[in-house]
Amino acid sequence: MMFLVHVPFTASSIAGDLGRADYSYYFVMRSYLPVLESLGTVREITDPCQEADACYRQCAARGEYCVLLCFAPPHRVPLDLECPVVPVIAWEYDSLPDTPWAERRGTDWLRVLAILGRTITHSGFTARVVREAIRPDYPVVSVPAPLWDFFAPLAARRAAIRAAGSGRGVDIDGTLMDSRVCDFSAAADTLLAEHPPQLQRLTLDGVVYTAVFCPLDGRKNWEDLLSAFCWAFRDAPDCTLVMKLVHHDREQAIGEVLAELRRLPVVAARIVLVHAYLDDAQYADLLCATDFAVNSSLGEGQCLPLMEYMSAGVPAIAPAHTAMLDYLDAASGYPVRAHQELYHWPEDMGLILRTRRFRPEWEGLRRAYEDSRALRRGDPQGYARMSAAAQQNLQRHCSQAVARDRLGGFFSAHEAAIAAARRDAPPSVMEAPSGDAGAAQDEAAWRRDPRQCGLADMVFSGWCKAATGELFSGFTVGPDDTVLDIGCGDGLAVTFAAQQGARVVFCDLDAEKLASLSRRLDERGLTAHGALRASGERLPVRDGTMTRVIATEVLEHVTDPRAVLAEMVRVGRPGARYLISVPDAAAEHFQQPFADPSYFAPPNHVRIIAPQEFEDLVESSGLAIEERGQYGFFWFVWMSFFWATRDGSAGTAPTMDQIAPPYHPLLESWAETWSRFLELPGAPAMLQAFNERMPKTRVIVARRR
Amino acid sequence: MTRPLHFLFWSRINAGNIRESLGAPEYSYYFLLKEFRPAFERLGQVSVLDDPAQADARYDEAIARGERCVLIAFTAPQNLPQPARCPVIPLFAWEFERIPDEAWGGNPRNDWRVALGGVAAAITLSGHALEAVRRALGPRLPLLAAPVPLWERMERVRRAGDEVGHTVTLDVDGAVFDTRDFEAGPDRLRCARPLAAYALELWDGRAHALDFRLHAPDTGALLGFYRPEPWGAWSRNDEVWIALPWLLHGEVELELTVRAYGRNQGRVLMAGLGDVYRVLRIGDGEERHTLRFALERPARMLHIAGIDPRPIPGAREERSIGFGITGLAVRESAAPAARGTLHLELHAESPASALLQEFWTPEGWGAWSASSAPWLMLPRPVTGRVRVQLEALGHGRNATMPLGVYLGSARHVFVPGAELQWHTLEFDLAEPAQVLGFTGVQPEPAGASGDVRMLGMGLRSVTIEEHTEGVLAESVDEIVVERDEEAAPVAWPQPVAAHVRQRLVLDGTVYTSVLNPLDDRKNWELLVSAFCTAFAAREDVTLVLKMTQRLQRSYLFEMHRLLQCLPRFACRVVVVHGFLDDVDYGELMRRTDFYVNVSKAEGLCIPLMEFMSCGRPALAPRHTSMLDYLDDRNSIAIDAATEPCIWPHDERAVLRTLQYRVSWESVVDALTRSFALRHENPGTYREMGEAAAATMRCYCGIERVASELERLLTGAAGMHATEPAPAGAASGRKAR
Repeated sequence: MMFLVHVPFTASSIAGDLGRADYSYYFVMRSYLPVLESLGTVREITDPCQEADACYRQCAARGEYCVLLCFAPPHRVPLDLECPVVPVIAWEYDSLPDTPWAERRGTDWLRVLAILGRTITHSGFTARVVREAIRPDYPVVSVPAPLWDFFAPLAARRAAIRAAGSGRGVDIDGTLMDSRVCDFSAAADTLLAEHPPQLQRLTLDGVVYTAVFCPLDGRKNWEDLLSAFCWAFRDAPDCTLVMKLVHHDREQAIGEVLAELRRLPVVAARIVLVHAYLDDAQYADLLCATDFAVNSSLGEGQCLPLMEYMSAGVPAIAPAHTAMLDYLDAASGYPVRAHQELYHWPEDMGLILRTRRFRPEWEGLRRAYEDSRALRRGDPQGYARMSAAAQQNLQRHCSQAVARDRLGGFFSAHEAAIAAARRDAPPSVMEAPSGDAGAAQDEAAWRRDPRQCGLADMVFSGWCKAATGELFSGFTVGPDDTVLDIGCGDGLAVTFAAQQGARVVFCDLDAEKLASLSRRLDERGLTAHGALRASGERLPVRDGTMTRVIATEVLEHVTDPRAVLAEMVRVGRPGARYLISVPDAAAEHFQQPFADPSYFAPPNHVRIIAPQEFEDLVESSGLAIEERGQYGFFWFVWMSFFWATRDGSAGTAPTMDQIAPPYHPLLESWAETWSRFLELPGAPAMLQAFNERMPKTRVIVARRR
Repeated sequence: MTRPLHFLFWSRINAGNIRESLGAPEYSYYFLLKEFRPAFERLGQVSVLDDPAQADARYDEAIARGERCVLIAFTAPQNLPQPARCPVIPLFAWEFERIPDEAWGGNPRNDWRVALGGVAAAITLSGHALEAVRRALGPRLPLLAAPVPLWERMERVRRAGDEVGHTVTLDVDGAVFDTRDFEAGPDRLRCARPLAAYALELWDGRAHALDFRLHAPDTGALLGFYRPEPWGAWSRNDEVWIALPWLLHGEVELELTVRAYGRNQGRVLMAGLGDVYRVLRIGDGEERHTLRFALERPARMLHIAGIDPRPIPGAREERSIGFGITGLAVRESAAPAARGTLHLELHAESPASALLQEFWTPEGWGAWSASSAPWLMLPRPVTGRVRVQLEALGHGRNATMPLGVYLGSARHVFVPGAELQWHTLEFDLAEPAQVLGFTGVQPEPAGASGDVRMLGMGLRSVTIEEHTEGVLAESVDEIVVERDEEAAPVAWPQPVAAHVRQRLVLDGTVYTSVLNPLDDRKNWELLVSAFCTAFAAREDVTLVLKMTQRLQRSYLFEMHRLLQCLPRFACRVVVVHGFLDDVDYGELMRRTDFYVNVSKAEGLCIPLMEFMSCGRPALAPRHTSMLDYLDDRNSIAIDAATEPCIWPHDERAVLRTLQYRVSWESVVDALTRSFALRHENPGTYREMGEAAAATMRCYCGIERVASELERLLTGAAGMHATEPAPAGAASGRKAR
């Protein structure tokens, strides 16, 4: 397996980027490397658009699985590559952005993830949010940064320090402000001047609480953990809160915290501010000196500091929401109840309140402080148990073994899906009419197979002209198009559109059909697609996003065709083109006496639409009809013969995309007859005459005004 | 025999200064005084003092008459008067877990332990407050928790019965802000009835400024902008609005501090106020532009149109920014010479056609003249250099004849032509003129069969521009004129007060809350967002917010923001900003299905008690004073837990006590459950209402309150039945 990895940040910008919103993507990528290296070869690439496809083609040539892992938010993931791309995303809100903002289409994350086809994230919470947004069987796996193995060894060192009773402390090369010697009510400028960055030792004693956060990140809600500490330990000089501030601007970071400290009453407990870059050893020292890790955020995609501390056996006080739900429980720390509140997606400049975040109970934080202090001081065995539980929970959550397991399974499934799709793909539509449909095809067998004949008939009738990009006469699809196919069935239209370079979204109620079509498209290297499990009456698609909308053989199946048309019109951009087809009414009436009753009952054809009614439906929904067509004489006869061969015996009625061998000899004979007819030079003209006289299907191409 | 009691009542706000004090911090104390009076009157005589300095004199008089006398001070403890002899009993409200026990600002009486040091007893409105005082002051001071005795005064409403389920119409003297009147989304906010929604604010004619930089409160006025930044805010669409907090009128000057991005630098943008538009062209960098408007009808929405929002390809800036604003200032126009443009459409639908004189009845296209000297009266005088553009044609020989045009005393000549076309004429007016007329027209028969009229000249529209020395529109074609949505002209009174009566029709399920939006503890935004989430799909449910605050703009910005930022909702939110008389208020009470409170802390919550006294069940958190009377039988609980907060009157704004953080999620849940209860379980709903009334009868009936007061007074220092009091100090008497 070949893993191409890309993250839009580099090592050279790390120190400067410390505290910037996407910094953690870089860290996560680095933490994944050892696991990826144990599964295959890893190559870091800086410019996916230039480098990824070349690499992919080399791998494809030697039959090796290749995938590009993009550690970035979905709107920064390239969508146009031949190489399959899997985004590795962090997300802490309870819904995915599904609205493009400004002109940046990529910011509709729902669409991006649906098109890319599979996703890796870092918490069970996020995986659930993704599945709820896209579809229940969407392939998403939660693989938190596998950092347990690096931090677990620190547990022994922690225990040794406590057992020996030796002093705890950490060397800080930066700014240190300690309430034991510092008057926080002084002006910020004064304090900053009096405490310049320098190398100094922070000695710690008593019950030590550590919080690592960026004070300018509103999501961290650090004011709660600070004020709750002050209230809980107003009279407890043996408690210390160490706030390790992560932000590149020293004055800003410290200024924010000092402003809040000025509002709080002076307390007996000790409060320490640290602003410094800690190397691995210093970070470990701080961790080993800590008794409890504290977090009060409003949501976490994955909280790296909490994971690090708990891996080393430091129990945590943290809200019971988002990522923490995976590993924090009453045995391993103090989960604090949180309540939902309305919020907006962080990239949403309009501040529209479309999602939820989670506010922890302040009272819960305060009680957690009080209870944890009592535990630490009065119940050493209880504390030891909690410490061990924290370690175990995190091992199950983010050890390299677990990550290797999950990633391995994920990539293997992807590889298998690609291979299966390659095996099962129906022959390309383009192969059928010319007759030389590949070496493996037996020409005689081809003539007798109604599916092959039917495909050829469709092409002769005006469908799937790749040279002109016309899916049907007058209905072109090209690389600039975004296509929605409702009731996609076996995906003939979808496949054609994708081959023409369009982005395709296909929609059906049948999850299996969606899954298998996705696989088949993936296999062909057509990755710009997305599957939606939805009913045409309520499409989870934004207004005006589609340039082509296809609904073939759909309206006769739905309870409310006007509602479906209204939805189709809604999602179309002004000027969008529509391809709609329904069974011809005369053909339906012809079949009625002979067909199985279930053929005209739900979920099959629930109505017969007369040609005028068809036109009225389309026009009254706001579309302007541009072309009308009909075809399917071949199928008219075939279906009639099909009923004849069934001889009134009960059974499920087929849809045209479901027919499968073995066929009655009459049906094979008819297919062979028709195939021979199609081979004649004069066939197209007579075919058109047949289709006009006795079509099976009526087609309308329309435009949205 | 016990000596009769004489109560001296005092509060800082009194009948004399109540009008100016609406919404001020001590405002509600005046009402407390009025509410408690009947209870005290059952125990003795009540006199209201205007000035606490009179207390000792009145006390001496009372003692001389053989009465007992005490000053009941309806005020917060730091403002307590300190008479030398008269005992003082403060009656105050307190919502928090801890009373102020620090002195700040050099005032030792900010520490309530000091302020309450000399009182004979203290009355709080709730058990919660009583406990807070007890914790700080110890066991010796006699204390009483007494609610406002309002049960009896709600009898009239109770007797009138239930209106639940019916449609009622209320008359509001003020404004009714109804979300149904709005078409709102992230990039638009249009009000179908702006006069009904915003009627109360009139401009006082003085200079004001709005600041749109990050964290400035005025940013709520911005509609269609990106999140404000430290310098100001960028537009997000091709048109934006600024909802000015005043209804401007007359001659107005707006000074805008603006900037433009990309293609918009040098581009002609239109800035409109009401139906008057001015050209705005911004160069490179931050600029100040002064625009003068002569408003014939009051207007409050500043509209900037014509922005090109397309991002520049390849630029780092990816947002659709175009027009940026830092702030604006409004003042009366210094130079009346700059008057703007008059554009008069003269066809049948247009109200301006009423200005035509000696014309036939206007038709769809315009109007034909009826005499040889037709004229029209301009809506206001014009002066100086004036450009007149006529859209006219001539009938018969008038098409090719020169006709005279005069504006005041200045004259011109023009040939109309056989088809409608524009004619531009420049006039120099020495003095203001208001009549535009034509001469020399020769009426001819209309010619069409059945048409007996004699026609001369046809007029479709007239545009009049007054030149100023400043920027003027490049051409009339660029001016877009929009009619205000309410097309019928309104006769505006002179801007002193705008009393507009609105009708409010209520039906469906009604939730009501009465609150002061400036009081941050009331949490009204949380209520609105939770309501609109719980009932996003229901049309038949309404939230009525009755605001007890004079300034509509104090909350209007937030209301607009919620309208734009909440996901689409079908339910209805109505904000009543005005006065409901007793009858209508009673009807609101009787029509309400549930009263809702989502406060972080309550001293008492009189509206909640009033509604419950009328048999309306409540949705409320169980904390602070509400713990005295809410239980599972008479209310649905909303989850809330403590969080730190400041003492509201502490200017240091430091965190010293606790209030309650209300769970938004729980409000949504409570609303949903209450709706289900109301419609699926009407029996239980009725029982809940009856329990609410029963609780209030026991809790705030005047008999009970009076007897509690009596008990307190018996034990209070200096109130002993037979002895005169020592000089106003809490003596060693045992507390009862």
